[in-house]
Amino acid sequence: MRILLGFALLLSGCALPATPSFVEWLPTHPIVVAHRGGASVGPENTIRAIQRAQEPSMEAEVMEIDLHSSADDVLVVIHDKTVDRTTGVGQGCDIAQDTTAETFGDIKVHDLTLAELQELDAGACYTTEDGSRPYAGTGITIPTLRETLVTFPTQRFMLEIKQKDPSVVPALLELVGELDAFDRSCFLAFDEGVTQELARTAPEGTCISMPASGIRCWSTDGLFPFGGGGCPTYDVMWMPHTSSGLNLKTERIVSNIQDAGMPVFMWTINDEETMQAALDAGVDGIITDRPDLARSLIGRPGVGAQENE
Amino acid sequence: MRCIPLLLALLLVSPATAGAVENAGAGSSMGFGVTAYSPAPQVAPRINLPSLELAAAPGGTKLWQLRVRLPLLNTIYAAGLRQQLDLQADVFWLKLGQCDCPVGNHVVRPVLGPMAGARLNIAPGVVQPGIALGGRFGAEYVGPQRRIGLTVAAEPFFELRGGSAGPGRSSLTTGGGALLVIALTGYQAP
Repeated sequence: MRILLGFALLLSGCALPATPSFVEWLPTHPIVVAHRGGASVGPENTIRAIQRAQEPSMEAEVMEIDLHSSADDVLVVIHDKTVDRTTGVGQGCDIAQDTTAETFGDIKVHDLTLAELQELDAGACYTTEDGSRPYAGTGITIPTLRETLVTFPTQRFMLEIKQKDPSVVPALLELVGELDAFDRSCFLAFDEGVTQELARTAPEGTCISMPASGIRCWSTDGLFPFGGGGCPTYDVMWMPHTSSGLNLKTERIVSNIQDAGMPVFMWTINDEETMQAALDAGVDGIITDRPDLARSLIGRPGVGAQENE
Repeated sequence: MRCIPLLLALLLVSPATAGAVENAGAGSSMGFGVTAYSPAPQVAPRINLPSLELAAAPGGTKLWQLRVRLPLLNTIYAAGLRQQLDLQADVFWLKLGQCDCPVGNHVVRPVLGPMAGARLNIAPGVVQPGIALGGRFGAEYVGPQRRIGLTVAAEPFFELRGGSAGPGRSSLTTGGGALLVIALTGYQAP
C-alpha cells in the first residue's frame, strides 16, 4: 500500500522538495557571514562563538571557519598553524599574528594529537573591549569539524582549508559527505593547489570559492582598464575589501564579478563605514568578526535563522 | 578640409609607381577607447598599453603595408598583476595612399585596412584561445626622409574568446569596441 501511495505521489509530482545547494540558497539581499564563527563575539573558531553569532541580534546566515588536521589526522577548527595565539600556550595570547609567515608561534597544530589539542583552552585568549578574558578557563576546547557540523545540523558553513601539507581534502570531503552536509557547505582555499584538488575530487555541484590568483585577476579587471578578461570563475567570490591599498569595494568590481555569475562576499569588515561602503557596492555578503554590527546595518532578520533555533 | 576628398581619392587610385616608400619599420602604439563584452555588456574604458609594432611592405609594392602588433606590456602586466599568460598578436593589412597635402614638405597619407588577431589566455584552471577581427582607419604623417611615421587611427574590433574558465566550467565571451590609436614608427630609409 505504501509503495503504491509513494508511486502515486511521485506521479503527481508531490515528491519532497530537494535541498537547495549553498549557492541556490543564497538570498537576493546581503547576508552576514561570521568570520571565524564570529571572532569578536566569542572565542574564534569555537562552538561558543558560533552559538553567539546565531543569537537573535546577529543571526549570521553563514559561519566561516578554518581547518587544520591534528597529528592523528582529525580535522579541527582553528585558524593558525600554531595554537599559541588562541590558546595561550607557547608564546602566549599576545603573539603577533602573521598569516604570511610559514611559522609563527611554537606549537604546531599538526604536531599535536586530537587529545592533546583538546586539552588546550580555546577560550584563553578571547579579550573583550575592557581587556577581560571572560572565557578563559571555562572549558572551551578546539572543536573538531565533525563536532561543529553535528552541533549545528542546519547551519551553513564556509569551510576554509588552511592546511596545505598534508592535504586535508580527502578527509574533508569524506566527512562532509558522511554527514550529508554538502548542501550547506562551501569550500574555500586561497592556495591554488588545494583549490584545484577540491575541484578535481569534490562531487559535482559542490560550492567552491575563488582561490587567491583569481581574486587578483578579477580585482585588476575592475581596477585597471587594460583589458584582459579570462579570469577564472568559481561558485562564489570571497575577496578582501582592499588589496595593496587599492579599494575593491566599488560597484564596477563587484558587478563585474556578479555578471560572471559569482556572488561576492567581502572580508574582513569590522567597522560601520567600511561595511556600508561594501553594501553600497552591492556585495552579497559581509564577512565580519562583528555579526552584530553587520546585522544592524543590513537591517533585516537573518535568512533561515529560525532553522537554527 | 580640402585635403579630405583628395586623401580618399589618392588612397583609392594611388598608382604602383607612387614615390619612394619606406621598406620596413618598427615602433610603438597605444590606444584608448571603450569596450563591451558579454555576458552582461557594460561600456567600459579601455587603454591599450604601449605595444610593439613591426611594419613591412611585402613584395615591394609600396602600396600595402603588413603590420604586426604585439602588446608586450600588456603581457607583462597580465603576468605580473593577474598571474596570467596573456598572449596577443594582431596583423593589419593596410592600404597606403600617397598624398601631396601641404604639411611642410612632408607626406600625410591615409591608412586603412583589416585586422585579424589571435588571443591566448592561460591561468590556473583557465585556457582561453580567441580571435579578433577589426580594422584600422586613419592617417599617417611621414616625416623627413620617410624615416618616421606618426599614425592616428580609429580601430573598431570584435573579439570572441572561448575555452575553460575554471574547474569544470567553460565560457564563451563575445564583445568588442573602438579605440583611438596613436602609432609612432621608425622606418628604414627607402
